[in-house]
Amino acid sequence: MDLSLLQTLERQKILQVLQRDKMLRTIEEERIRRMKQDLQETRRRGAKTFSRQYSERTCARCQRPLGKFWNSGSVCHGCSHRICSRCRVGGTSPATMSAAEWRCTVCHAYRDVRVRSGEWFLEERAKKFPITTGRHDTVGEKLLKSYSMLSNISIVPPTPPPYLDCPILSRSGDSCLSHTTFFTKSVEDLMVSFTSHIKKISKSQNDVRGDQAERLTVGKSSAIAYTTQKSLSDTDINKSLHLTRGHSLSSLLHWSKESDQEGLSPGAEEDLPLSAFGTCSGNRGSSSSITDCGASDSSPSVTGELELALDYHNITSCLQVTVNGCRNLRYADAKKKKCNPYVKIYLERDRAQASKRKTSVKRNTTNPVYNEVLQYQIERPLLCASTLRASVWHSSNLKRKVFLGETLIPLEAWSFQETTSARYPLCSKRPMSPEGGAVEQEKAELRVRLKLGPTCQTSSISQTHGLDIASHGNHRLTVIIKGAKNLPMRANTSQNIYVKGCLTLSRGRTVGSSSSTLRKGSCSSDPPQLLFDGLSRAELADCVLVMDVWDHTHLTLTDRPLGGARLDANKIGLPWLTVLRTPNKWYDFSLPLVANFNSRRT
Amino acid sequence: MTDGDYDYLIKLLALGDSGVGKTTFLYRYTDNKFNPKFITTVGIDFREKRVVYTASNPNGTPGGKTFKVHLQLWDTAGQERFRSLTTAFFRDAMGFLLMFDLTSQQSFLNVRNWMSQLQANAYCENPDIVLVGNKADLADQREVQEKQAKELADKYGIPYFETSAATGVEVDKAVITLLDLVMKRMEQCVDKPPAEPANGNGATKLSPAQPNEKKCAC
Ligand SMILES: Nc1nc2c(ncn2[C@@H]2O[C@H](COP(=O)(O)OP(=O)(O)OP(=O)(O)O)[C@@H](O)[C@H]2O)c(=O)[nH]1
Ligand SMILES: [Mg+2]
Ligand SMILES: [Zn+2]
Ligand SMILES: [Zn+2]
Repeated sequence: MDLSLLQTLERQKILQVLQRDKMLRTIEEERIRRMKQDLQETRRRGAKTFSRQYSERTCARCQRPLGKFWNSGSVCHGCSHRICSRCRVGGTSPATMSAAEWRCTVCHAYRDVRVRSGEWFLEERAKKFPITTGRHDTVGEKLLKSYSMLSNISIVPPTPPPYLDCPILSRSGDSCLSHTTFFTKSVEDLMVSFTSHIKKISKSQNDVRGDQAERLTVGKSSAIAYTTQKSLSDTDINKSLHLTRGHSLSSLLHWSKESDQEGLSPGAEEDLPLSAFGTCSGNRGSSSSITDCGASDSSPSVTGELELALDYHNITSCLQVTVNGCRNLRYADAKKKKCNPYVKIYLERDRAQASKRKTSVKRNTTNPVYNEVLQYQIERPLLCASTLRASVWHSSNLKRKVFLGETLIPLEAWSFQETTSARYPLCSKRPMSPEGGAVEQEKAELRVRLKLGPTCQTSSISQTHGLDIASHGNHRLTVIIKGAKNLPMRANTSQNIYVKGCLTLSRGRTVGSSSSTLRKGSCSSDPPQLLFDGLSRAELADCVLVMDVWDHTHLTLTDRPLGGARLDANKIGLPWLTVLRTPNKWYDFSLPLVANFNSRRT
Repeated sequence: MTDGDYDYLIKLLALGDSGVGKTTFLYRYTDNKFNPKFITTVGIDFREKRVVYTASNPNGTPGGKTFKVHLQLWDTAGQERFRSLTTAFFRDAMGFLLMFDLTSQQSFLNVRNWMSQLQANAYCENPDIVLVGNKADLADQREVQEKQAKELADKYGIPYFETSAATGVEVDKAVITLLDLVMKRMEQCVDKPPAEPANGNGATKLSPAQPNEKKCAC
């Protein structure tokens, strides 16, 4: 019996199993996505709103008044809000409703999703195997990826097994020697090298990502020109640089070796908080911390995430910030394990007291749940010029507040669409930047290529909202996503980066489109692109195209925003007019990516 | 066979020496059939089954809510040469069927090793496990006594079942017991007050591992 053939078949068999597993996972992901959406809807409907004067005497969920003695409500064990008897779930009978068994509708829905989506499992596991990649890939998924990456073998079951070495040899001319030897190893050897790797994967950010690097060219430039304040220590910049370094395809082929090296390089991973965004200082207060409220920034590194949703109502000019909660906050007092967190937000255009909003304080938790809505009455043009600064503070009886982290959300590039929630990693304090954002520091860029052409009949990718396509025009705007540079560091490990575009036309009509993920293998013929159909030239004259980069994180509740770019026809001027004037020609744009903002989910 | 119309996706995994009957056991559970042929498993495989799970009420009585559960049952190769692959899959499973062959003393002695593999590779230090002694129908060839196995299971604090994939006896019960444990664990995990941040803080991660009493925290 030919042993090498058997091994080929063995590998084939395993890959088929993994392929079946992948199909199951795809269904699961879709189910979870739907669940998340429903949850967000529940949150929005049942969130405590502070527009009316906060009052202990209304139910936090339905806002119905509560009596002093009769139907006085009681406190939900999840969110500590006072809840009327109608807005409670759980508890076996009305008689036991007073017991701790029930939750308010929002807390219940949240808990339910955590159970049903399997988040509980990922969280438990993260305690034993901490993840630093921000992703929860299953072993099967990683294995499948590493295989489909290294070989071009079709692994879809019905396809007859193609012969082993040929496709590899034909694909990569030069270093074929190394992979042939790699591939003639028996399947177990591969498993050994793979599994010894898995142990590292949890630590190293090295998911297989050669193709992504090719397409994304994540931050190759070694010279980041940072012109603004010295809010970053040099080491921090080096660190983020190091982490956003792209990987060439050839280096991938020696990935086991390479990742070892990466693991050794100083400060590459150990001391970077999971939450660190590209520019936030990884540890300590090396940033020139301009603190207020007597915050001490000499404390250990900031950790955790803040989950927010933004929503703007055009008619009422009302910005609603739904503060869902935080995860994995650091302790304000690590020794005593103390943490009573609350969230404070400012609209930074005017840092007057008037723009300050706070949530309630949650006691003794590093994972507070708020589900509170903070509101601003603000005209849209003003909002565009603002940055939302959301910070988390520990409140203690001694009137001393401790800073737990913050995130800046520039609203300039926000598409003002309805939102679902997003998780923002918390960072150390950043001084106010004159630009109202961290743009200058990060120099993150989205590179796109635009073309205006006639609408292609067969396409059905774009969706128009509102009016019928036919009544508008027959032009199609094609946006090829060429790549993104200097994405927040977490992004460079992700294989699921995608771009959502929202085109607002002159008459207020909006058209949306989502790209495929930017990680596709180099063999794929379709680059990720956005398509907008049914446009008329008149409408395009002063359109605004907002593109958001997202990291689709598997099996967690929310995708992560990585930044967004705005292409405003009025501001770009001449180049845009050329695009309009000369259809069917490609034009390249490099757009600054503004970190941290949010857009509608499709 | 799959669509997204279920409430939970629960991933269980069968492990144990080669030939103890893992594949046959799962085949009996999902298809209610017996395959007398021995075709050793290559690496890993899985089977699926949709079941309806009835939650017991807090006071212990049955008749609570019902849920649709989609079970993904991972089948691992018992052969040593696949060990590094199969143990890698341990970390994605929520519960484990640790199987041995009642007609093989050796397979029973190896349970200990499998337990330590689980401790090292499963998602937490003390995952939900059910110990299964299979081939109970081959009474005349029995090498492991029930008392012996029961004692071991008690030592680990896990349930024990004597099953037969050939006749189907106790097969469903073993799986459902495990499912029940996982479902309960899941509830506990979300209800307990969240522990200190688990990941994200490099400092805690690098400090020497905390003593074992910490366990899985649920
Ligand atoms: N009589 C009897 N035979 C059984 C029973 N369970 C399994 N067998 C037989 O035992 C042999 C091995 O069963 P498998 O299920 O293939 O063993 P496995 O544990 O999957 O082995 P690996 O895949 O190599 O790890 C087969 O011939 C089965 O028919 C049982 O309950 N009773
Ligand atoms: Mg088998
Ligand atoms: Zn109410
Ligand atoms: Zn509540």
